[in-house]
Amino acid sequence: MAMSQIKEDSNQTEVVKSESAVSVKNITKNYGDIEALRDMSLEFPRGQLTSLLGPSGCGKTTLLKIIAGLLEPSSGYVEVNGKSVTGPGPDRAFVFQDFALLPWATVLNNVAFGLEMRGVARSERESIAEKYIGDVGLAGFENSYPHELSGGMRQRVGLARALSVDSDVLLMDEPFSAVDEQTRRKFQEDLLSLVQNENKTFLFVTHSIEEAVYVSDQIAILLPRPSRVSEIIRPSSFRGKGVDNIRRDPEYLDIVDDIWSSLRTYVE
Amino acid sequence: MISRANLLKVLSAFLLCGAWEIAGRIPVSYAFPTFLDSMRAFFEMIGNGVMLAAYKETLRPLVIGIVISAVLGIGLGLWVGLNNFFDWLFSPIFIVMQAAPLAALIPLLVLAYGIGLTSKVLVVCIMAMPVIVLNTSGAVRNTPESFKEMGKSFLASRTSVLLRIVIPAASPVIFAGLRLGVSAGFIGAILAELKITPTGVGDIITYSRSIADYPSMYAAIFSIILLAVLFLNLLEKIETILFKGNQRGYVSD
Repeated sequence: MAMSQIKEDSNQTEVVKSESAVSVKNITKNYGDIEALRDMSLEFPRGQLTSLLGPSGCGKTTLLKIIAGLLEPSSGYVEVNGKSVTGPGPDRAFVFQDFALLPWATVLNNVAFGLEMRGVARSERESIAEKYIGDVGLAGFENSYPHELSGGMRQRVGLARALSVDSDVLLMDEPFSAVDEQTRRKFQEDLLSLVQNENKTFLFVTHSIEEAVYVSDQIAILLPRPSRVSEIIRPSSFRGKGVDNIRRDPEYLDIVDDIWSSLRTYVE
Repeated sequence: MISRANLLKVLSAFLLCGAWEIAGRIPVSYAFPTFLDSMRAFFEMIGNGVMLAAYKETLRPLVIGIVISAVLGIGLGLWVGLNNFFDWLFSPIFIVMQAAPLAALIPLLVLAYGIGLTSKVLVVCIMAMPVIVLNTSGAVRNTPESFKEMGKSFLASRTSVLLRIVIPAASPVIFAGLRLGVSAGFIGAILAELKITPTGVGDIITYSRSIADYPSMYAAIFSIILLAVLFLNLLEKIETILFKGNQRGYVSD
């Protein structure tokens, strides 16, 4: 079987290190007495999509927010491109589960928000925003308001906002969990071509096993209580076979089964 | 072409005035004039300048009080809403102010500040400010966390988060508080003129009642309600201009 599961060992970590866009080093996060993350270390290879997958309560969103600089770890540190993270930075952009679009602003102003906060002049930020609105397939909706869009279109706005600031790292917190199944499939296909065409590193939090296996170059399985990385899976054979063939590839099916059998005992 | 909303407004005003007219004709009380008699007195007082002179008196404490309440109230509300310490320090004061039986406290105010403008402005402020402060602080405290996180992660400064996210998000509730506060301020202005010294519109009400000129008395009451309604409509216009998105509903999920 062509399944290449890499159990974390020191040798492998060394090899991956130099190519990591994001390194998580011995992160511990406590909320009072509750230990959300314990001594977690993880490498995110540059230019690839890594999923954080695990049952609810395993701390995957907490980890993503620590990487984003929105939460402070209790101990340990995060490095992005070799620099230690002290807060949000221009090297990272966030895509939110609930979209987090400003309801009083048009699509154009929502997408341009990040550029505006970086001090980009109005005409320039609007032309950049228009380009990315076109890229995500929302041309013609620049002056619509979020409530006039469907859930899927709203997340496209969130994606365009994150892309427009041209960060190296894209942090996606269950970005497709609030959209319907058909839109979600289309999103997953689009995400694959995005990973291929944009020279960015993607960190993708999801609770869907199928979604994680479908879109990921690397899947980190997180287990709860206390949260830790239990294994890292790197699917190898089906990525080049085209988006239509992934879901019936034997390796895809095996990995999905495998992950489920290791997670099922943790799901109440 | 009149919109449906405006048509309904006219219709409801018409029904109210009609009911007033009928109640006046029955009459429900000797002291209750008909709508038409009141309107006749209303236009007469506008014609002979009595109304204008009265509003010169009444508008001073009213406008000063409302401006102070709005500026200070929103400012304090933001402060209280953004800072737990000031919430603990100030919120009880405004809750007490809102619940206090103001009419009973007016003699105390007169004792402390005399019968002049200061006392009247204070009465307007005590009526108007609490609801503005409490609404503003509540709205600010309830800014969706994901909006603030979004701002931070896209590198917004603290000031930008406040100006571009917290205040626009809170604006519908802040304006709801302003509307309630302004209405209460109008009540306060008249209350001050009835309880402290009879001047302006309060004087027309007191004097007309004492000589049993009920149409003039109700004309004065009608005028202050009319002014309040016009002012509230103006406030709504300002809100629409300042925060365009408020008109358009909210992302529901």
